[in-house]
Amino acid sequence: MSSYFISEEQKDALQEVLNISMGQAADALARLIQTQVHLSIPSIKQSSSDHFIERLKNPDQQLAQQSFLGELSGEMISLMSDGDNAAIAELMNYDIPLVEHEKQELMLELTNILAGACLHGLISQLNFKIQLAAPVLLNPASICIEQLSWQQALLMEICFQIPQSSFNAEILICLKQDSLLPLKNHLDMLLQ
Amino acid sequence: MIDDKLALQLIRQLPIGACLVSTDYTILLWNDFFSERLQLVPEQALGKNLLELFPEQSKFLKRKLDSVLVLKNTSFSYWEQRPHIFHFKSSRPVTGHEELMYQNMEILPITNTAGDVSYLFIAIMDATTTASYSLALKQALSQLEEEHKAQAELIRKLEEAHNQLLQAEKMASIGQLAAGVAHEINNPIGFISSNMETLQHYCESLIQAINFAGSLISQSNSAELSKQFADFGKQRNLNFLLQDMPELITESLEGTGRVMSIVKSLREFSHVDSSEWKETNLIDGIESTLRIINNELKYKAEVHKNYQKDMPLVYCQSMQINQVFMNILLNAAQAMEQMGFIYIDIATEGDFAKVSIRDTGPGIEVQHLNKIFDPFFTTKAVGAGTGLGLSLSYSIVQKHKGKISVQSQIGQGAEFTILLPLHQQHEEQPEADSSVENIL
Repeated sequence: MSSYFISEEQKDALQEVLNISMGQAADALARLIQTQVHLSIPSIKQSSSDHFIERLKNPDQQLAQQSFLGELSGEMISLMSDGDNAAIAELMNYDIPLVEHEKQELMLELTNILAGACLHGLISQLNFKIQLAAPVLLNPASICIEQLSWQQALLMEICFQIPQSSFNAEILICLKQDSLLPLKNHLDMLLQ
Repeated sequence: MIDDKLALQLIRQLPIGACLVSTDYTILLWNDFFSERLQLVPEQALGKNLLELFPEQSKFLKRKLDSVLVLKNTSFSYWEQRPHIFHFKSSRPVTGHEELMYQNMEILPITNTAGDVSYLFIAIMDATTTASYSLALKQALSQLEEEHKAQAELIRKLEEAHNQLLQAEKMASIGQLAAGVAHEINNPIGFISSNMETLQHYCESLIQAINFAGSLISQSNSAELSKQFADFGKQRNLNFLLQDMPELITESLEGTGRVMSIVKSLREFSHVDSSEWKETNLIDGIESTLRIINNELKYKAEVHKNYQKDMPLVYCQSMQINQVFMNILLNAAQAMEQMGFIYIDIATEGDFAKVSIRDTGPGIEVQHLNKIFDPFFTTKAVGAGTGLGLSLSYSIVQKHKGKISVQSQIGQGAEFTILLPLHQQHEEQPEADSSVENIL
């Protein structure tokens, strides 16, 4: 990873912050849906725009997007397996079977909860004030590389699994290159 | 700085629904937006349990509120998935057709200094305009999609019509050519045939005369004469000649017979001749056809029939239509390599009578499928078929403003479908017929 992006030191600090956040998130999720949630260790990557788009174009997944704005701004993208969601719906206290708009609602709700849980620890530890925008469904076909105004971005990836169901999801926290500065500043503050 | 009173007034007058609840869902704040649109004054709401006040949405609201409590993150609801959380009257009572307001909702955690959630703030935003705009757009899109589909269908129909036209044109030109050829051949083959028949009689007499002469010579007891006659016979190969001559003539007559039948087919093909138009029962037609070709069918296929009850009469040239049935049935029987089945279905379909004849024969090869209605196309051995049967059938069905089509898969048999209009225009047909009649 180039020093232009984030330094190794900063990366280590960010990894540490994320690990703690995930612990908190797993705990909160377990309390919310009364079941065990497995989270992967977050990975921090630098991604080019075409690699990023490739990630989104897997046909077997549903996408949703949620923006956060404020002292740190970026987007979170949830990628969920396009499979049987009855088990997770039941855990989430939905009446099954779900009709189409309820499926969408579940998808958005899960995005909000998972992405929110991931982000919450990060911003509270690094002392950011942000606002969350409403999550929206994302159609991968509507994204093309020509639309993107950036070449490189920082991606934080977290995988979720609920062992009791076939549910699994990935959350990407995406920061564009020019939104990295506040992150680096706050990490440096933490390091001192 | 603003004082508390002003702040409260500000909250009351906010153009969004603002409601504050405690962590046990007790309503602590209820602004004008809520009270006016729900006709529920603050006194009726404050201090009440939100979930008990709105039992229909309690499950949903509890889920949302709890997730905010636990995760300390804002939660959202969007009009597209859940349009009417609260029964707010539509914000467009005059110009809109919606009865209820479309709403977006956000639930925000209000945390105390220790970082724990002490209150939950529910904000309701009116999304009616966006929703109706978006819904109208969606409707327009689906309408557009439908029109696009209809257009594609139209293009397909046009293509089909174009192909049919091409086929018809091909038929017409072949028809004229055939008419000309048939006319030219008909006369010479006529006198050749009758001459051959005469020749056959002459030949018989001649053979009798020679035989008679031979027997007279042998009775005359003249050894010299007998020997001369025998030598002459041997020299000229008379015995073989006498034996071969009738065969040659018979074969020639068979040949002319075949030419005449081809010419006859050509005539029928080029002008579906004067067969009478009348109201016809197609079931009777197919039954009589089956009787005629019973001998050809009985060792080849078992026929299963499925006729619609009260089948309406069809105005058509019954003899010609029977010819079509016969062509298809004979082809089916001839194609059958071993004992198989033929299924005949007669029923109405829309404005058409539909006759479908399906066999369990070997099927038609893909590359032949679009050629089988072409004149002179045959897969039978040379001399066994004229290649006119199906093209004749095609032109007959065309003449009836009907459709004939075939579906087949190799090894699965073939199915011919004939559609004849139930309501023919009675007047036009005979005229069209007589004009073709003049060609020959």
